[in-house]
Amino acid sequence: MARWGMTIDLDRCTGCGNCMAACHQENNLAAVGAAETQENRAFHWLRVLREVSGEEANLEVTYKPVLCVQCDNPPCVRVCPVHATYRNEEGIVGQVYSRCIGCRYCMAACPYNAKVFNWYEPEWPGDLQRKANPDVSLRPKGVVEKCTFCHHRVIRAREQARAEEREIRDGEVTTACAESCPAQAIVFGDLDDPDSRVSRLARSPRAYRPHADLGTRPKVVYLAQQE
Amino acid sequence: MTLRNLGAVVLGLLVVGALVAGLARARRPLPQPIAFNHQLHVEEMGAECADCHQQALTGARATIPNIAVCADCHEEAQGESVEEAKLVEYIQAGEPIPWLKVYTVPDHVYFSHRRHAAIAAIECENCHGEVGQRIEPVVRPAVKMTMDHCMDCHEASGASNDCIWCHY
Repeated sequence: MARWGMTIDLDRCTGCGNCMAACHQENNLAAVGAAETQENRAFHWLRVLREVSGEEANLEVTYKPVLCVQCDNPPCVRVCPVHATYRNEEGIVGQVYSRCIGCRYCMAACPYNAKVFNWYEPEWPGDLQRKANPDVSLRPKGVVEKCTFCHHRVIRAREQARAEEREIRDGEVTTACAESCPAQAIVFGDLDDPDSRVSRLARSPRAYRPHADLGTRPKVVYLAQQE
Repeated sequence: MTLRNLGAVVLGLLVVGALVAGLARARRPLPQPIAFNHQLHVEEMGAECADCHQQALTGARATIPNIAVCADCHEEAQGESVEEAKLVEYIQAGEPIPWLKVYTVPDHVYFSHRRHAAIAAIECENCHGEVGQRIEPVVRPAVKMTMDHCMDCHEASGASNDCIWCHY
């Protein structure tokens, strides 16, 4: 059984934001509007952080996409009182919207700030609602949501593999963010397959796991920038 | 009778009323616009389910056939049936038949016919009963579509009961 994971190469990321846009579109994320964004209620499963350093004449800007790191030991799961969030057999931390009671304990427990809350009835500007992805449900007001590693794509790939009576091939299933990245900074795949591209990258000397000291055992691995 | 007892009686009546109303709602037959005869099509004409429910093996939803599919055979009336005459009227007016959906799953459930009927090769009858032998139109589900129904079958067939396989 696969154990899904991701590597993000910070040397390759140009901060273009394609991954954010693709994630919004793929996963039917609602738009909250400008005023609500000012109140820190902007709504993303994946954000690109910007870090500026150096002197004024020679500023150095680096970018870092951050998302749910799909911990193997997830703190959010331990605090959920209704079993709405849990780690499944393939290592994906699932969020079951119909079980969620909106207490937001998981958001408080997550050291990665990866979960978001539906403060408002979801809205999509223009005719975007009619362009919703039919493979992903629309979440109501009052529930917590987060990155699912595009689990619906994993299911679709497994379905196709079963129909053809074979295993899922490396690279056959990928997330919307990885697919949309023009610099190919994001790689998705099975960390337990020693030959998969993602597991080879995760063994690179540049690889580090965010907040590894917390014991959360994340499955999103960053490849540090080289000097 | 004390006020407290009265309260208990009123509450009891409300609960019973709600149960009766719920049952009546669950058992109420749907008034289909045409009394479609499955048996005639399946047993006598030899049609397969997916001949009319065209996405049953390839898509998430099986789809309910409408005039475009029916018109393949019923552009003109094939017999004397009153029900067929209604169908021909819909076809000739170019007006879709307002079929009522009998089988539904809640919004927070993702159900794929392809995954069940094509890949796992589960017979349609498992969830839809002996629909091919029905003379009367389908007006209520043959099986109550509950999560228990899904999970029992998943368990028996070794399919996953992982929440996010169906809830995403």
